[in-house]
Amino acid sequence: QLLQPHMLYVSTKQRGNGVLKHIRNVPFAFSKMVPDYIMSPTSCALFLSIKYHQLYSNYIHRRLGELKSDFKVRILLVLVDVEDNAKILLQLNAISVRNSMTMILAWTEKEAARYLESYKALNGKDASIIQRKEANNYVDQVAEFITATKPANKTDSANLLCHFSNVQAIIAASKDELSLCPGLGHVKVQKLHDAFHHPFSTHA
Amino acid sequence: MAGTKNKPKKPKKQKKALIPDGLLPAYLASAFGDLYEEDGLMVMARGLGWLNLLAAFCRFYGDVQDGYLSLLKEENPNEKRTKPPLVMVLGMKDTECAALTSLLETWGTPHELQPTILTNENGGSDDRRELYSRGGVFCITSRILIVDLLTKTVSPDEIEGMMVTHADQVTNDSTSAFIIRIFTSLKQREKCFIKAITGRPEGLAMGFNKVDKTLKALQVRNLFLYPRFHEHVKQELEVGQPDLEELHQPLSPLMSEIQLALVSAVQACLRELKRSTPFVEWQNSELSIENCVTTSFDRMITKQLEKDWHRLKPETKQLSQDLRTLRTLFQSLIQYDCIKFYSFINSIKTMSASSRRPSMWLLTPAAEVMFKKAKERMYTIKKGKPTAKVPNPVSRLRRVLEENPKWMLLKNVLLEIKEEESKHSQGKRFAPTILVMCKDAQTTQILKTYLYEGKDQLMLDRWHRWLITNNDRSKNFVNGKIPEETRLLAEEEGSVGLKLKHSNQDRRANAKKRQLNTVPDFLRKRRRIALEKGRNGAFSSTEDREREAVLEEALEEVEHQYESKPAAASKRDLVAEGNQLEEEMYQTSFIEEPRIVIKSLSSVEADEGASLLQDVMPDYVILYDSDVAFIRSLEVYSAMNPIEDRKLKIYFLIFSASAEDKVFRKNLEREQKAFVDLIEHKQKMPPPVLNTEATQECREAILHGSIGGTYAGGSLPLAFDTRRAKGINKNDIRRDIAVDVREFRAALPSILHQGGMRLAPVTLTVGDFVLSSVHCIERKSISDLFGSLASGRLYTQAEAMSKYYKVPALLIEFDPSKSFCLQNSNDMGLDIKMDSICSKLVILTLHFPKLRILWSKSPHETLELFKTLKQNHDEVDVDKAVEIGRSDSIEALLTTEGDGEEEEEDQINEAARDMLLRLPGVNVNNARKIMRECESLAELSRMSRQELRNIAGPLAGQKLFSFFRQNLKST
Repeated sequence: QLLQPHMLYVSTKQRGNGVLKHIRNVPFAFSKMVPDYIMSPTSCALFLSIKYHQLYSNYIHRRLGELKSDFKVRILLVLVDVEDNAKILLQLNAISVRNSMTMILAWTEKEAARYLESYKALNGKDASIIQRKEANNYVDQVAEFITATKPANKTDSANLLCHFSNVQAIIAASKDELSLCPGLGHVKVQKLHDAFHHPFSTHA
Repeated sequence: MAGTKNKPKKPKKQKKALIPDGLLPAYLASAFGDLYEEDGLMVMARGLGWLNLLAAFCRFYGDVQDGYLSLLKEENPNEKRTKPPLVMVLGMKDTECAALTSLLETWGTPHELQPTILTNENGGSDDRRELYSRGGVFCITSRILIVDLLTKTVSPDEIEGMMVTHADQVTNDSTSAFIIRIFTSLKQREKCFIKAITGRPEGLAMGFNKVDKTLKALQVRNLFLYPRFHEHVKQELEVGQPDLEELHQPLSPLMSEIQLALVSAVQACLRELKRSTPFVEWQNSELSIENCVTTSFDRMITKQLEKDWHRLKPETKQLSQDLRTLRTLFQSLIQYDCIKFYSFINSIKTMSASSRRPSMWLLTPAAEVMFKKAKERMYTIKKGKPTAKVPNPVSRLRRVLEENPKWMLLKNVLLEIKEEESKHSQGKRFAPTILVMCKDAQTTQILKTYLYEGKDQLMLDRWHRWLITNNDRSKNFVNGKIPEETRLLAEEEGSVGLKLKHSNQDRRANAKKRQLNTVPDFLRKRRRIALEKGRNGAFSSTEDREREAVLEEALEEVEHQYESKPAAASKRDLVAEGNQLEEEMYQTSFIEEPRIVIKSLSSVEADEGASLLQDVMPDYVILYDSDVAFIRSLEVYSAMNPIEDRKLKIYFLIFSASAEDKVFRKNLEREQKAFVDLIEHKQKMPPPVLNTEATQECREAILHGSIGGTYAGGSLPLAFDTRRAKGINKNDIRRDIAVDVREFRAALPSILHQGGMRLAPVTLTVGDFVLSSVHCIERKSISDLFGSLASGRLYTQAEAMSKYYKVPALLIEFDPSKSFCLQNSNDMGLDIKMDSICSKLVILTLHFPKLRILWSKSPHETLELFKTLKQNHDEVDVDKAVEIGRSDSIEALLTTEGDGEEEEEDQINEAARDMLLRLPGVNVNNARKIMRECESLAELSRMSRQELRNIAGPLAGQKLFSFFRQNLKST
């Protein structure tokens, strides 16, 4: 069966699933197939509602059995539609690990639909959005640097920068000078000063 | 120790000898007795000196000759121990440790009896083992102690007892409780002691049955309460009640207008906040002016938002951030001078303009009013009316430079005292000492300068500095087009500069004159206060003299103004200090002259008020800013040091409209109520049930035999156990988990341990928990998840886990007290947004198909999950887990260079390393080189462009160089 690259394929078994009416951002087509959804040649998803699972606990095992391992990304999309779900979640966590499925929880049909859309739409996208990016704005860069020291926050960073006007001056400042900056208490001053002036490693 | 209960009076007597008489008030001695005789939780009112109590215990247990050990010997002649008992003090903050040490020092405790302070910086576990074996009192962080207990660096058998400070913060899942659980379950309860102290009764009075839970977590039965209205306390303190005078100072008209503007800005923020969060049920968020000023409303709001924090839009988060900023503005308005306030609000404006989401309130009319009025406090521009003759009249700038009204009040009080003194000065030998307490180092600085140099000098100086920084931005305007205001300001800079120059010359000339006929040096008594550890705070003596001269001048001027005595021999010395203990404190005291000491409340945070007062011995105290704890310390001091024929006099300076005193009274009420509740509760409280039988963990270990034998006796050196057990107990329940030591800050390890898991605390490079040879888990709380997805940290972690483990997993752990969901579906919108959590998770799972996502509703669920996952898998090989990924990491660099031994994570300056990695251009690869070539961040920041290029690479070097040197104003 040839897949059309822009299409999200939905198993005919999923007809009537409330999730489908929320899929708007990608086109989808029904097809007879083993997984519930096929997002790309290498990724597929099974859908499970916890309510359903409570009634038919064997269902998911059967489906998992049918699913062949020719997909690289195997998503188990779980709709959390039951309040008392701790025990079932524990089970599902274990099932997904055992069957090499990646479990995604969605709390509403809309959210579940959004995940499916996203898997389709973002397939092949690079990971830059979740990779470390260097802030290009000077203020943000400084904020990132300063906030690496735990109790210091963005406001402190901003205040420091305003007070000393550049990073070299901040680092060179004595503890007294640092504590004259608004918002910096004893603890923060101590921590920052230590981080700046203590050697990277006492060992070397 | 068995006989202690029979001799209840003993310890008191013993203690009396230990601590120099008169240093500890009688109620503390009785508190000592209570807590010594029976384990329990001691709740003290603020400022009554819980730290002194702790110090008494430290001294008692540390002293071999006269302390606890001699007591034991007295009771039991067969007692042969010679080294002091090993006592652990948990929960101390750094500042408190320092205060404890200095307090003991003033009691004359020899150095070798001082408690040892163990923090992350003191060496590895072997060093600690050595230290422990010598015995004594240790102030230790709970994270180190738990790791040492689990790795058997110290065994519970060696530990004589625990002292837990800030005990109100101990909960069943906290690390301290974890420690106590291990400690008590492996040791017979009768043979050890647990004594808990807290100075925050409110912490125990909130929530349902908080006291019972805390007592249970601490494993103690007794609750001792020492409120301010405790009979002993009352009796003692009411002897020498100090004289208190409250002085109310109204805000200046401009200040009240600014305050009003701030209130409406807060209200605007709140309206917006409520509009954007329809799903939050807001409680008592109606803010009147009074509420705005008095309550920490921002915290109240954040608390209500917290539950849904991850569902909030960035705009909403910005709003809550703004509220926090606004509250600090209320504070800075009354705390600082007009110039500082103006530059503060200006910097907020600048930062906001350069950030992605500008603050909404800055655009409101209220903000406009605020900026206008704040400027009017500094200067006004008077425009001449255009007349027929002069169509473009010259505008004139008028300096206003409004001073903080409290300064004047302070000065008046000082003058009043002086006058008072001069009336009574006949026949007295010592000049009075005046202690001025203000909020923080900054205020100290300002007050010092104010009193030294007078208002005009101080304000002109600041004004000039402000003009310099403010004006240079506009220098690049084309000449003809300068706006009037800018031109006037530039002119002002010139004239102020000139004026300052003159007055400085005058000052210098004056100083010189003074130097000629100055007081001979031998009259100058310089003494360094014992507790101040001197380093390099050297005042040059000429500078000292100069300041004196200046001060004299300033005070003379004031005296003329008030027509008191002719300005003959009036000298006052000021000793002002920042909140650094290291700073040397000189007191230059001239006979007959009042001595003024300015101190900041933040420097006596750690319950050190008492020792400060003992050092300074003031006759007058001026509370420029107030604090309940410090006032109590004053009462204690006054009761213990009655001054003949006169009482300690306290002046209380309050801004009347700003409701400072309301905050103060509210705090008092809260504490009082907490105590009343606790007393009531204590009367009907059922005795707490302590689990004297072994914990589940031990039971299970015993039940399943085999390794139980080694295990029940103590905790584990797990690596040995598993290797021995491997292959023998195939069907045993798997219980071993390698846990990264950093995870011990969270509750999960404690819960895992309670659930029968055996934990090996190690430094893991990859993952937080390793369950088996295949399972590696990175745990993220919701906020961590969002944060690490944004920072890219999670990507790196997933990458590493996928590289080394067959089943890498991201554990998303929800907080049971917050809502169980990731995002608000109403906020999802119609389109796929790249920066939504949904897209990020999708990207993550697409890039790491092997990565499993585990969802857990609470740490307790996580425990069950771990148990399930571990079934049918090999136990983790801890050594291997530690080794994994090391060669790729930064740590590797530091360890391979040395002797190749395993290094403790603690020896690396973690904070500096994290900061280094966040510098632009720095990545793991060049970070190694940087750390090898360069000693510290300070050194790095001073390097030349070429040096940086050499060690970080050409591109990164350039980036680093400009990062360090770039100026905010030039961007």
